[in-house]
Formats: sequence, structure tokens, C-alpha cells
Amino acid sequence: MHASFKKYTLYFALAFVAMLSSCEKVLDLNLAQTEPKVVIEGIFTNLNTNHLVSLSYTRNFDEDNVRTPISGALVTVTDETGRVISFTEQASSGNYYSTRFRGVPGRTYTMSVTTKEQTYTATSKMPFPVPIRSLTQVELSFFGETRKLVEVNYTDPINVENFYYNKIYVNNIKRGSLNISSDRFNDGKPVKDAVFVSDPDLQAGDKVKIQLLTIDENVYRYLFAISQITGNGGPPTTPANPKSNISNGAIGYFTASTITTDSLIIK
Amino acid sequence: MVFSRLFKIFITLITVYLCTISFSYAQSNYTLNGVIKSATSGETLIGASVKISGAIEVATSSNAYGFYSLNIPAGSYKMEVSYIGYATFTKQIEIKANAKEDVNLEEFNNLNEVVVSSVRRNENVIKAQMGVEKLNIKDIQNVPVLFGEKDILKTLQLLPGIKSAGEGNSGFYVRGGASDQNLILLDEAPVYNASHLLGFFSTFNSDAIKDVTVYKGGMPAQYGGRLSSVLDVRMNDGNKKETTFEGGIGLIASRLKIEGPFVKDKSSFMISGRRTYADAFLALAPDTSLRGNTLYFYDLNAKANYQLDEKNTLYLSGYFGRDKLGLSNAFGFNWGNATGTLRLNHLFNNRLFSNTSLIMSKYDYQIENLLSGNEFKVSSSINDFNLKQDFSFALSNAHELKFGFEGIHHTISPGEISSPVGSSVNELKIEKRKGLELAAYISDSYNVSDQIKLVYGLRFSSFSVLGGSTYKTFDADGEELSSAFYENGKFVKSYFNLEPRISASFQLDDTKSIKASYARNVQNMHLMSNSTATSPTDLYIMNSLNTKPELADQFSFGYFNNLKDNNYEFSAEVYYKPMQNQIEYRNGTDLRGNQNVEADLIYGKGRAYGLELFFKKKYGKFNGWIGYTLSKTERQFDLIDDGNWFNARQDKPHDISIVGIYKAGKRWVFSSTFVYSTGNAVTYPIAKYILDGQTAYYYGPRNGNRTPDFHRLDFSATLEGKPNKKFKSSWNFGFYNLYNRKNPFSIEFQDNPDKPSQTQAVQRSLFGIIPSVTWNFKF
Repeated sequence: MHASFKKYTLYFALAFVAMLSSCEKVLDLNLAQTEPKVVIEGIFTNLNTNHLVSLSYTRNFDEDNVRTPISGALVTVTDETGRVISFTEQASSGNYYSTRFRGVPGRTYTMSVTTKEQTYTATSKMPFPVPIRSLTQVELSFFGETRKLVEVNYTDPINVENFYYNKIYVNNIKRGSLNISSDRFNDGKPVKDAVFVSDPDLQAGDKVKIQLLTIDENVYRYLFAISQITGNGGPPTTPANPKSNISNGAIGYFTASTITTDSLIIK
Repeated sequence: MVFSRLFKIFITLITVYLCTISFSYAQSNYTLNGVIKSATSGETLIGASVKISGAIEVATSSNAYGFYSLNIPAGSYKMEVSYIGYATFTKQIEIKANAKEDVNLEEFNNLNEVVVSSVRRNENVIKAQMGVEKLNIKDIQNVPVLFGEKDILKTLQLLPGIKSAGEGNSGFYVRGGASDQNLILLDEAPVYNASHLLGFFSTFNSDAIKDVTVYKGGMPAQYGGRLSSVLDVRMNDGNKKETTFEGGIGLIASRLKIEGPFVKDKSSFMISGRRTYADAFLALAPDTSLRGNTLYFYDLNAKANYQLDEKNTLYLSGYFGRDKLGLSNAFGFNWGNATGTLRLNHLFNNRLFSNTSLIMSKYDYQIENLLSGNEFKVSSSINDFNLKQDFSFALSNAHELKFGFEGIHHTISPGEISSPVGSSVNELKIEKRKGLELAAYISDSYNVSDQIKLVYGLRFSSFSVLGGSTYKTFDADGEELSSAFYENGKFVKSYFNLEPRISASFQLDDTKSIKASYARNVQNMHLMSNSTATSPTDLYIMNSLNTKPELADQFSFGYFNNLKDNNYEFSAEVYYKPMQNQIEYRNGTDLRGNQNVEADLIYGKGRAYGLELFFKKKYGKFNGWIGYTLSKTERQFDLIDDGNWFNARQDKPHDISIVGIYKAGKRWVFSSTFVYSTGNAVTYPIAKYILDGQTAYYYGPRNGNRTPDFHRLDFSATLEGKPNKKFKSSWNFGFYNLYNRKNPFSIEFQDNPDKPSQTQAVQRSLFGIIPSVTWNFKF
């Protein structure tokens, strides 16, 4: 349903634009600036791997799109039993990797990040995994243009709330906007979720890899708020800074997630 | 029950009041009454001036049904009746007993130079009512508009204090009010979504419209239910003399109207339809995938009336309109309004006029997804049933009373999802909500002296939350506190409000006056939108256990001055309007199929204040106006920006409109409009960061930034066909946005496609220069 609604809003926006002589222009806005804010992104999964927590500062709008890493922080993740998994920074990159560890679905994990100034904590309960059944290639026609899309097929477990986060990689490069959804409209049903890719469109021969993450509700709400600002193709909402699950005003999220992966070659 | 007791007290008070004043005034006067009509079509005229001069001088104007009534002592008088666009009627009358005088006014030919009547040309100065604008349908015809579709809502936005919500936005803002704070009535039926095609056209087809009045402040007590304004639109009754056809063929829409008598001079009908055909061209497209797409709207206005006898007239009117947007085999979306009004005008005696109305109004939308495996259909609707009783009573030559009551039953079905077997989408039904609004009012328009005039009144209104569904309460964080199911027919909670209204004018001399007014307004239905544009799917909610009625108190003060023998009108009005119980969504609320919307609402307050200047040249070959508004509108919510006041979405400090109409010779009319306003209050990022490999933004204070200013020049020329008794036609040529200004519709932030290491702000505009041609005819 989410995906369908996304389509609806997309159509809405496209119709909007198609019926009019739309035109675009780049503005030179003199945007205000702010003190750098701490951004934390932590993903802890059920895969036996080195999990990543990355720390950075926000940048001014007119600066380059690169991270300003926060180095020298103390990063740990603790599970319910009190077991501490420690993270070490990779060469002043602001990227902190754990030792190899497999997270266990159903358990709650607590991330703790201590920088020189402040300690930030967040907890997340790892949901149970939902396997991808298959990927299918579909085509969508709109006003004479045909787009190739990939649909992710999975069966939503009945009577539990599930939240999903689809990541799409095209030829090993991450693409697409935030594809998140919940089972609010299709609890217990086989789901076909079309994953949209920003320009350029998918071409024959492209290798598409999809990661289906399950996420907890707080993380879903955070990511939903961010995706809503960009409008997802529909009328944009009044922007605001969403509430993170991390304490002390940090931007970003910490998620304990399960991941299943599948891939296909576009025909 | 508290409510019925209060209601009884109120009614008793009215009755007592009526009786006492009636005794004190009703002695030696006689009544003169009648109906003012157009001699050509037999249409009743709303707001025509009636003046009696002799031993005393009295004036009034005809009501919404063309009826007038005056109390005067015996004697001989000169009677003058005037109405804009019509020749003034003059007659010597002798009053020895109660008398009836129906007047048929002769219409001026459209293009003859307007002959100016001497009667009551300074009405704007002497009337107590302020903050009111009346649109003349003939004026509208000459004002240039988008695609050449004349549109009352767009023309209204050229008046001071009434601002456009922007291109691609259907709403309009009155004195700092949001777009849902306007009470829009079509033949008394509330219209919930007054726009077509996402706001490019209004639902009002000008062919079918007789009269438009908008109140920006000092609303008369018979109106209630919205905070900021009343837009009272009346449909044509239909030509009582002969059958006529009228229509227009334009680039994207065509119109046709038929009107005529059932029984000559007794009953008539009017049917008017309009449809756009942008998508008709799609059917011709070589690409087959284009052919199945739909994108159009249509609307239909119909009205019939029957004069049962001298004292009773019956009216039936209806509106039906729908927009359709569809992609073959993929997606369908349609929305529309339907209204119906059945009215009985009854004359109890020559001083007491009554109107009883039975009204229904419906707004609904459907979204259909047809993609296999994900099929579903969402439907949502609002249904209103309304009974209204209005009386007007000509008490004496100094007092005219209006009183009445109304009851509206609302049913809102916020959303229902249905899906076929095999779809991945579950069925879902969000509970219906029911509510009952009851109101009673009385107002007196009182001519205290030649200098001082007063309209004062009181409206007593209530809203009851009705059972039939589950009602919950939530704390400030949106956590559920309680939940209970209430049986059908149960009163869950009632809110009561007293709404005093008063306007006064003090005439300094024949051409100058000062006026003041105060009005409290209450709003029980709230339109929720979290987007920066309006959408047909925006949700209406009613008061509940959590949501309280919105309240506004408006204070206004004005100076009115007519110059050069009333050829020029000047006015300056200031207003201050604090608002309570304003509503916003919590950040990041998911509105789709939300069963607990109230958990996501937050409440705060608002304030609006401003200055409106208006200068109008009313008559002559060249006429038009200049309006300027300086204003501020802010909101304050504890949960937004740490409780600081922020600019409301509708805040546009400077707003200028210039309208000029020039009649060149016998056949040409040229007109032009220019509009300028401060850019929209929006929120821009103040920092950026990378989240999951993508650029994300950190935003500054709510609505703390401005988009670039909006301005635009439009032009139109109308060529009347050669004069012909039977057949009239005209060509209208227009240019919208003549100098091709790229006005901002939206501003988006994104990675620079040419240089992905940089971000940029991209402005999207909707309309460049748009030419239009329309051919209109009448026979």
C-alpha cells in the first residue's frame, strides 16, 4: 500500500507537471547557517559482520557534500544481557566498526557514543527477519514514457507490526531515495513493493541488488518524516527536523535490523 | 439537558424583545413592500437600493430574494430604485395604507456608457456594515483570468484583504485566516472544496452566478461556522420572460446555459454546464498509452423556481461537479461536490418575510489503484444535512430585524479502503464521525440618527459530538489516555458559544464616514493539511474530546471617503484578530489511513493584523481599482520552535492589486490586472548532512524564510459582436502572465546533477505566458 500510495503521489505530481509548462530555475539563496550539529548513523544487524556507526558534523548548505568526521569518540553497543560490543574507528574517518558479531532478532540493543563534549545513547529492538521471496521486473507507462522498475516480493507476517526499509544498489552503487514502508495496510499479505530509482532509469543489463531491512517503529517514524519532507513526489510537507531515537539532540538514528538480500539482472 | 434549556431561554428572549419593540414602534406607520426584478429576465435583484423621500427620508436594500419592506407614515413620497447596471426607476407614490410596489428595472446595454444614477451612490459610506465586498458579475467578465475562464474566486483575490494562496493552490486567505476558515456558500449550501483541477479553476461557473458577497469582518449574525470570512454566492433563478441560450467555447473548456420560463412571469429554470476537454486531445495521440488517460472536470448548476401565489415562492437549486484524473489500467482519482437547496419564501405579512431552507451538501473523493496485485480503492466523504429558518422583519423605519435558527448534521467518513480478493492490501474502515451544529441568532439594523447607523446582533451556537463511534483522549505527547465507544444518538460532548457581532458607522458628511466593528466567530469543522499545497485529499475533522472549537475575535476600524461626486471611492480599514484553538499536525505525521489522527494534532493560537487601502474609480469609460494590504499573521504552538511565534503559512506582508478596465468605442473593452505580493513564508535548511549515502537537510525556524516575490501582469481584450437584437456574441482574447514572470511554485533542495558534490536550490514555476481565446454567445 505504501508503495501504491507513493505511485499515486508520483502520478499526482507528474500530472501536475505534465499539464503545465513547468520550468525550473536554480536560485542563489543566501541560507542562514548554524553551529555544526552531531550526526550519528548506526546500523546493527543480524548478519555476522563488522557493524558500522558513523559520526559526523552537519555542514553549511554551500559546502561540498562530504562528511566532516567526528574522530576519537568511544562507541559501544550493549545487548540485553549486558554484553558489550566495542567499535573502533577506521583511520580518523568517523566510521567506527565493531568486531564481527551476529545480532539476535527479538533482542534490544543500546548504542552509546561518547565524544569529547557529550554522550549520546539510543536503543532499538531488532525485529524478526522477513525474507525476500523474489524480485520481479515490471514496466510502468506514464504519458508515453515506459520505466523499468523492480518489485520486491515478500510475505508480511500476520498479527505483528512490521516496518521495512528497502535499499537498492544498481551495479553496486546505492541508488534511490528512502524506500520505507509499514504493514499498516497489508498485514499478513503477500506484498509487492515497487522500488523507485532516481534518474537515470534502469537499463537492460543493470545488476540490481535489493536489501530488505526490517526496522523498529521509532526508526521508521524518523525515516518517514525525512522522506515526507522531500514529498516522495507528492506535495511537499512543511519541513521540520524529526525526532531522533538518539538522546541529547543528535541527528540520525540507531537501528537494530535484520537484512535479507536478493539480486537480478534487468532485461 | 443544558443545551435545550439555554436554547429555550434564548428563544424566549428574542420573543420578548420582538414584542416590546414592536409595540413601541408599530403605530401610525404603513408598510411599503415589494420585489425588485430585472425587466428583461425577471430575475430578482439582490441588494438593489430603495429610497423614499418626502416628509421623511428612508432607504433600504432588497434582500437575497429581491424583497424589500419599509415603514413610513402616510404622505406623498418620491420613490427611487437603483441597481448597478440598471436605469434608475423613479415614481411618485401616495401612502394612505399598506402598499405593495414591485419594481422592474431596465437593464443598460453592456457597452453604452454607464449612465450614473443619483441615488445612493454613497452607499458604501453610509451603511454600517464594513469589511464587505460585492462583486458585480458584469465586472468579472472583463477581468483577465487564466485560460480565459472568468472566475469569481480569482477576481475576489484582487480585493484588499483577500489573498491568493498562490498559483496551483485553490485556497484564498482572508485577513490572515487559513483557507479552511472561509465559509463558502452556494445558494446557502456549504461548499467543502471550491476548486477544480488542483486549484486552477473554482467550482463557480460564472454563467450560473447572480450575486457574490464576501464579508471579511463584522459578519452579520445569520452567518456562522468559519473564522475568517463568509463568501455568499447566489445562483441565477432563470429568465422568467423568455428562453435564452448562452455559452462559450474556449481553449480548454466550454460552457452552455439554458434558461427560461415554465410559466411566464411565474416560474422559471436555469441549467448551466461546463466541461474541460484537455484530455480530449489525448485520444488523438499517436502513442496508445496516452489515450487511456483522463484529466478533466465538469460541473452542472441547475435551478428552478415556482411562484405558488403572491405570498409563497418555491426554489430548488443544485450543483454537481467532479474532477477526474486517471491513468489507463493503473490509477484513478476523482473528487467533487454536490449540493442541493430547497427553499420556501413566505410572506407572513407585508413586514415579516420568511425563508425556510432544506440543504444538503456532499464532498467526496475516491482513489483507485488498478495495478495487479496491489488493487485497492479509497473512499472518503462528508455529508451535511441542514435546516435553516430565517426571518426578516421591518419593525419600523429605524429598525430592521433579522432572526432565525439552523441545525446542521455532519457525517464525516474519513476513509475506507476496499480491495478485491488477491490484492496485497487489506480492507480498512476508519470510523465515521458525526456532529450536530445548532445555532440561533438575532440582529437589528438600527438607524440611530441620520449620522449614526448600527447593526448589532448575537449568535448563539453549539456543536455536539455525536455517538456511533469510538472517541479517545490523548495527552500532550499523543499518548492515549482513554478510549470509549459511544452508542449511536448519544451526545458525547457539547460546546456552546456566544458570538456577539456589531458594526457601527458615523457619517461625517455626505461623502465621509468612520466605521467600527467587532465580531466573534466560531469554527467547528477543521481542514487538516500538512503540505505546503492543498490537496483534494486533505482531511476534514470536527470538534471532539480533544479538539475544541476555533475562536476568533475581530476588531476593525475604517475610514470611508467618496470623492468627485461619488465617482471615486476610497477606504482604509485596519483590523486585529486574535485566534484561539488553532490546529497543526505534529511533525512527521503519517496521514494516510490514519485511524488516530487526533493523537497527531497539536493546538496553539494565532494572531493577525493589518491595514487595507482601497481606491476605486467606479464609473466612466475607464474604471478600476488599486488595493494594497499591509499585514502580519502568526501562530504560536508550544511544540513548534520552542513555543516561539512563527509566520503562518498565509503570511504575506505586502500585497498589491491593480485592475484597469477601459471601454474603447462601442465594441472593444480592454482590461489589465497587475498583482504583487511578498513571497510565501517557507522553511529553508540551515545545514546539511549525509544519511545512508544521501544528502539530508537540517531546517531552520518554521516559516522563517521567504520565496522570491510574486508578481504578474495579465491582459485581456473583448470584442462585442455587431449589435443584433436576437443574437449576441463576443470574442475574448487574453494573456496571462504577459511578461512571462517565473513565479515560484515550489523550491526544492537537491544535489547538483552536474556537480554532485554540491547542493542547490531549485525553483519550480507553473505558468509562463499563457494566451487564451474564448468565443461567447447568447440568443
